[in-house]
Amino acid sequence: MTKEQLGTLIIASEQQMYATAKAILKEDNDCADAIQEAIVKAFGKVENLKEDKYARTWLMRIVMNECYNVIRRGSRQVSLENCPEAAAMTEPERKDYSPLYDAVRRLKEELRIVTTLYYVEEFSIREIAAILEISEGAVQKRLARARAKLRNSLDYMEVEW
Amino acid sequence: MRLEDLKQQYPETPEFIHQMILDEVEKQMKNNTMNEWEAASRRKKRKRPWTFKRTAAAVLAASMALGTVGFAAVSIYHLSMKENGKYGVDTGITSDTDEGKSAPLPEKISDVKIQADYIPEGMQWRDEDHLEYKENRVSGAFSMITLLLDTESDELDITDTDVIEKEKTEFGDHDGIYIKMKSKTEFNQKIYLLCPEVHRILIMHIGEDVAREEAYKVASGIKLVETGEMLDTSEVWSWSEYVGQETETEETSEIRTSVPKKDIPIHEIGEAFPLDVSGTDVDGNYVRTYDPGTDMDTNDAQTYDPGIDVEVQVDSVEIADDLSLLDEEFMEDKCKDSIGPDGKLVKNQLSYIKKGDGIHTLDETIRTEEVDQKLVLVTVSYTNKGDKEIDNVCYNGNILLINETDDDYRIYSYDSEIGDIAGSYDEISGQAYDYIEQTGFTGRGRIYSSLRSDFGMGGNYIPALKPGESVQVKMAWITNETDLENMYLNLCDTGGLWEFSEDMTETGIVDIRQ
Repeated sequence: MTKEQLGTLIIASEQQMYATAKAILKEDNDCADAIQEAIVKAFGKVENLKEDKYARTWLMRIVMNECYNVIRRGSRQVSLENCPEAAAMTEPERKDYSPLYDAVRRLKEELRIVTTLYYVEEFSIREIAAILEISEGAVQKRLARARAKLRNSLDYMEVEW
Repeated sequence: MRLEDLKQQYPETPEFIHQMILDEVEKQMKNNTMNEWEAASRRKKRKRPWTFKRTAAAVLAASMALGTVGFAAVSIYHLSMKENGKYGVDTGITSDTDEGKSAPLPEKISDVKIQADYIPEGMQWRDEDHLEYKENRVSGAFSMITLLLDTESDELDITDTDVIEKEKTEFGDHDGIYIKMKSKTEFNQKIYLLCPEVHRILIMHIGEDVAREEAYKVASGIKLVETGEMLDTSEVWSWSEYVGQETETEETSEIRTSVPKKDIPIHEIGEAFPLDVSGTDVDGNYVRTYDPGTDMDTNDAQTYDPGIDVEVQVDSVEIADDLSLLDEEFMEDKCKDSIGPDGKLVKNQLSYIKKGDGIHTLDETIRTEEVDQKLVLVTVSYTNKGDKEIDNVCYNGNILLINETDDDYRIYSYDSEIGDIAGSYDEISGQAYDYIEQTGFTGRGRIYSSLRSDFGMGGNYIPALKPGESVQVKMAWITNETDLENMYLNLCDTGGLWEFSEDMTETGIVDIRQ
């Protein structure tokens, strides 16, 4: 993959990168940091990418790693995992969240990530397994657990599963 | 409302992140040579993580009215170079007085700009930190960063490894250190340039396409000029942070690569055994065949259906030199690259590498060899032994390469990070090696799954399994011929190529050694 192709991919994957980062980190500023670092690392390592068809999963893996690096680097940054009351917080954009998205935000991180990757970013089970470095079966299990939890928390809504 | 609507309800990317992505991509496209340190530098200028230590320091500085004058009296800095083994060089900074250690930084400090009296012919400034070749903008040339000499920088060393040339000398008015490394990257030279007049050190990353003499000329003409733009000191990337990040070690998770023989069942080809699977019932509800146990919550328990019972068995294992056993419709695209002009699987080139520590030794290829690759096609039957239909059954399969000892099964991989290949003994060369680089397909996972369902988009699903019904699935991998005698098959939907999961030790693995 050339750097030009990578640049095109990154710009086209803007929403996916943000959704991935937002599934792990609470603050948009931290998401921005992680995405920026991921872009730099992706350009630095693009020569290691052996097959272009895996570029999108490879890019998301880098974004996720950088999100965890952001969490590790400083105590000021807070992951959603350490902030279970995220849905109750008063961040400015919070009021625009839909009940469904709010419920997803309340999921545990491992469930929130697979839900985001599957339903928002439309990765396949296999691709998610590659991104998270777990088996396809494990991805399916987590999705099932996420669905069950969402069904429970949104049982007052007419949600189709 | 459907869960599939989540995409529409997810918040859109904020405008400032959208703009940052556009800017960063543009910067990277222009700046092929930027390295991670520079990226970190840019990030740190914008925002700096607040550790407890830094927060305490900031509180202290804020509480001291004289904090801003202490820095002006900071002492003279010195650059030190110490040999560290045969190929390591420690570069450090010391200050003359002890007061320097305790003097708080000013809250504001002037930004600096890099000026060069000498620019090699054919080069030009790309931006404020980079010199590039006019005719070849993607080539190495010069990439520079400046770091603040903060109070925590004193006596902190950074170690460069794989160093094959080094010199401590004066570059114009500045003390400096030149090093050249044996490196696969295009930046294999570096100059540390001490600029105490602005409380900075400049690091020049220099491409392999720049002659050492030219690098010296550029370094000798470098000046750091204060711009007058005052920055928050806490936002400026410092030597102590640079050193701290350089020495930061990657966190690695524990991977279970060996298991006592008594702790894992081994099944034979043709032997049926129960397998935990997941799928949906005829009404589309998610169901699974296993009790979720205590680690899952009550919501998960609702999907456990004890009336569902699935058995699995490996019916056959076929080995081939080409892909003629496979139906092209179900092949992964990458398979095409595995076939040579003769229609056979290409050979896999292995390079046995002895890892150097970068201090006393360098990485060394002790031997290369080519080995034949083989297609491994496994036919597996899934049988519904229960009284309920289960649909969209997820199936999975991974080949494990296992060395057997008297007591244990031990997974091995060509990668030094997995298993215990590090320190293995190569009988042909008579030397130990740490990892093997390979060009082939071994270890890249399953390349073929003969049954697909649209459920879940992943494809590896059996559409329906009625009570008493058996369904055959074919799965294939490419592996080295030399590994055929060490293959075991994991059919659990957890666990992977490189680790024993709890499911695997309960369910067992299948001996498919050839």
